[in-house]
Amino acid sequence: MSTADWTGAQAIVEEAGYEPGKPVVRGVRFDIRPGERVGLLGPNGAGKSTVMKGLLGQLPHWKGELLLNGSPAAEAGPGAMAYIPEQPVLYERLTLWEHLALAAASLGMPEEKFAAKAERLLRRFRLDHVRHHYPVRFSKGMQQKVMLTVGFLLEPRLYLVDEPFIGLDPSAMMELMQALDEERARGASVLLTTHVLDTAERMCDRFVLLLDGRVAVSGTMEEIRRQTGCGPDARLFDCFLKLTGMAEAGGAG
Amino acid sequence: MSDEIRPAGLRDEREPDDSEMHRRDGRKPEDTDDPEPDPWHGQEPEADEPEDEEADDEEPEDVLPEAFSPAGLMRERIAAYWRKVLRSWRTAWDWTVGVYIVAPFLWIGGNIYAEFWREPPGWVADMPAAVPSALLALIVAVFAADLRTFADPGDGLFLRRNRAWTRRMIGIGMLYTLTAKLVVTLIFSALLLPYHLAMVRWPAGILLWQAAGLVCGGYVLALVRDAVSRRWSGWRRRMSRFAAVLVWAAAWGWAVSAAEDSPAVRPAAIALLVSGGAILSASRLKAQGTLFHEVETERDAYAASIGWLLIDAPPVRALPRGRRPLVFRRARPLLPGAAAPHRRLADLWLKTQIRRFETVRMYAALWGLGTAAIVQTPMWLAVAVWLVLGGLMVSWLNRLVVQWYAEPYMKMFPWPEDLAMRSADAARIAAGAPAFALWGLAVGVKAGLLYGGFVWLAAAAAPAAGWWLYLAINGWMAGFMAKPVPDKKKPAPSPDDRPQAGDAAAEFEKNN
Repeated sequence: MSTADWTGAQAIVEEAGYEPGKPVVRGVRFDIRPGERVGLLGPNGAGKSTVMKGLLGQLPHWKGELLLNGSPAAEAGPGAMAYIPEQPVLYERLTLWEHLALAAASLGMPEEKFAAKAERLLRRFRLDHVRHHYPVRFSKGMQQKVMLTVGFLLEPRLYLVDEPFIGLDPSAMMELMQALDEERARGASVLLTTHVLDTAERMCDRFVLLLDGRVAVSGTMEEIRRQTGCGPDARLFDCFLKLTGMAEAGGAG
Repeated sequence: MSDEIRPAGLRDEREPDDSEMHRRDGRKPEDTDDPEPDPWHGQEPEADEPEDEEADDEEPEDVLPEAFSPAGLMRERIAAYWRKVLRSWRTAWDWTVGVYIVAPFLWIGGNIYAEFWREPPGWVADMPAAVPSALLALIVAVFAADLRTFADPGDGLFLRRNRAWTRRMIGIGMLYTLTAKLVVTLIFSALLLPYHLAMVRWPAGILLWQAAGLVCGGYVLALVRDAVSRRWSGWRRRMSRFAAVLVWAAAWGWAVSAAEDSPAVRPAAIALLVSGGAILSASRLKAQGTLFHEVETERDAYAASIGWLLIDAPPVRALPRGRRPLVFRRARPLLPGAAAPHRRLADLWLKTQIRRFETVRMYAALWGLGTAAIVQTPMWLAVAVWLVLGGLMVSWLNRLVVQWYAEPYMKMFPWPEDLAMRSADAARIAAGAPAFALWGLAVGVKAGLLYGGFVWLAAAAAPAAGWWLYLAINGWMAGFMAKPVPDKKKPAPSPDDRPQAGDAAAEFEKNN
């Protein structure tokens, strides 16, 4: 999908939860600008997955909105955004190539364009030799790469990526980062959740750190350091520890 | 432990368990099934220590029931297995199933069966007796196919360390397998009795010989398939198991044929099967490291018993056995015009269905039963049956399409409603029209046979007409059948605004 007229996304979560009257997340708002990568971070139970599910419309109790180009995501048309889940979702009787063909068919992508893009992505993720194999028989890491390939094939304006580094070996992580760089050059935006703070720091332009279902701090690395009272050389990991109060408890600096 | 708190069915068993026996005589347990058994650290028995009855009352769970034995445990496991299976079957049963499915099936099936044997076709009388015997051998081999041991994954913790218990439990499993073969043999032999009694006029002795041979042969085959499964995996396992069944069926057919000229073949065959069964049983009882395979076999047996109920539940569906599909191994499209998105979707749906053995089996069964119904009914009824079969086919295929769109992977994508509807339409036609046209051929040939002359033209005209008739039935039913994707809950767009399926590619181009 073209990103020429892409002005970015706004995530607005007034309340989100799994039971009525018991919101897990409250008052979370952040923007994702064109070509920007935003990391949604936080300790276990902070509400990262809840926010992601809410933005995807998968929560039973949800007050909020995901705006794409200022309009609700539901009106943005197919292919405006792609979700890459943490747990690979595959169909057991489709080959890898057929998984991609199905994804392309959902957007009405012409056959020739699909074939060229699929070839390029399979080579990038070094999956071209298993294109006619069943992905359900792949290792977890390879299955994760299949999900990434499907997501990249659709060329959406916004990627929602849930824990992308789990199950990926270092070379696959490098391939993912290169692919995301290409997408950034195209103007696509990325919202990703992760626990891998070092990689998030390298990959993301801005961060939203959640604590107890609320935004504790957000901004660029500089802004995060300032808001958490960390020094100029502090890593995201240090800021995170300081923010969550574990620095003192663990004796870290 | 008192009888009141002992599991039912174990109360009369007074046999001491092996661990108690070890405690009594102070000896080590026998060899274990564990490749690296832990050294024995059992305590020496204490002489005549008075039992603390109060302590027993307080902590009864620490003491094994006195009657706890391999036989009792196996009895409990077999009963639990069948309780579980029957409970699952019960969920699919209510009076509507009985009235609308089972009763008509029994009535129609029974009538077709009775009619067949009342006036059997000429080829039945001409068929050598070895052919039905070989088919019977095939059926007995396929039903209740594997050695059952009712193993549980938890057995690996303690039970398998006791070799005596393991042997006795597997021995009971062998008896169960033999009994299952006997039951299946009796059922299918009874169905073939009209042939054996009225057509080839076998005396009771030969009938008994055949039954004994089928039971023993089925049992031997179960042990052979068990050994093959433990030895190989992948395609070697599948091919070996398949080949074993074919060899057995052919061998039994040959034995039946040879016994007509040389009656000595009969006792020789039974002796061979009994001795073979005994040798294989002894060898199997000595085998070690079989727990994983046995647990896998039990899981497969349970899945086979209830799988038909849960055939569409994604977590229950079996994963493909190979790394690559057996059919349509390349990306070549199956349907013409697959460049169009809706045709591409229909093409992918069709491939996935053909790769699922359960769907192919159901399709073949529906086609076979439909053809039998057309052949066995009067001409006017055959035409009506043909039309009803078309409706059934459309309805069943639509259910498969709807389920496909409900797959988690499919739900990840925002399917435009019109694209999904058109792909469902193409899928139902691609999968169902050939079967409907072939039913039309059966109707046409039947008409030609009955009336002769120019009516034979119906044999050519009916399949062609059937194709168009199927399209009409499909179009009519599409109006009220379940839709592949739910209706969008938003105001209906005006006719001018409504997206057209053919516009999907144009929409893509516009956005890019």
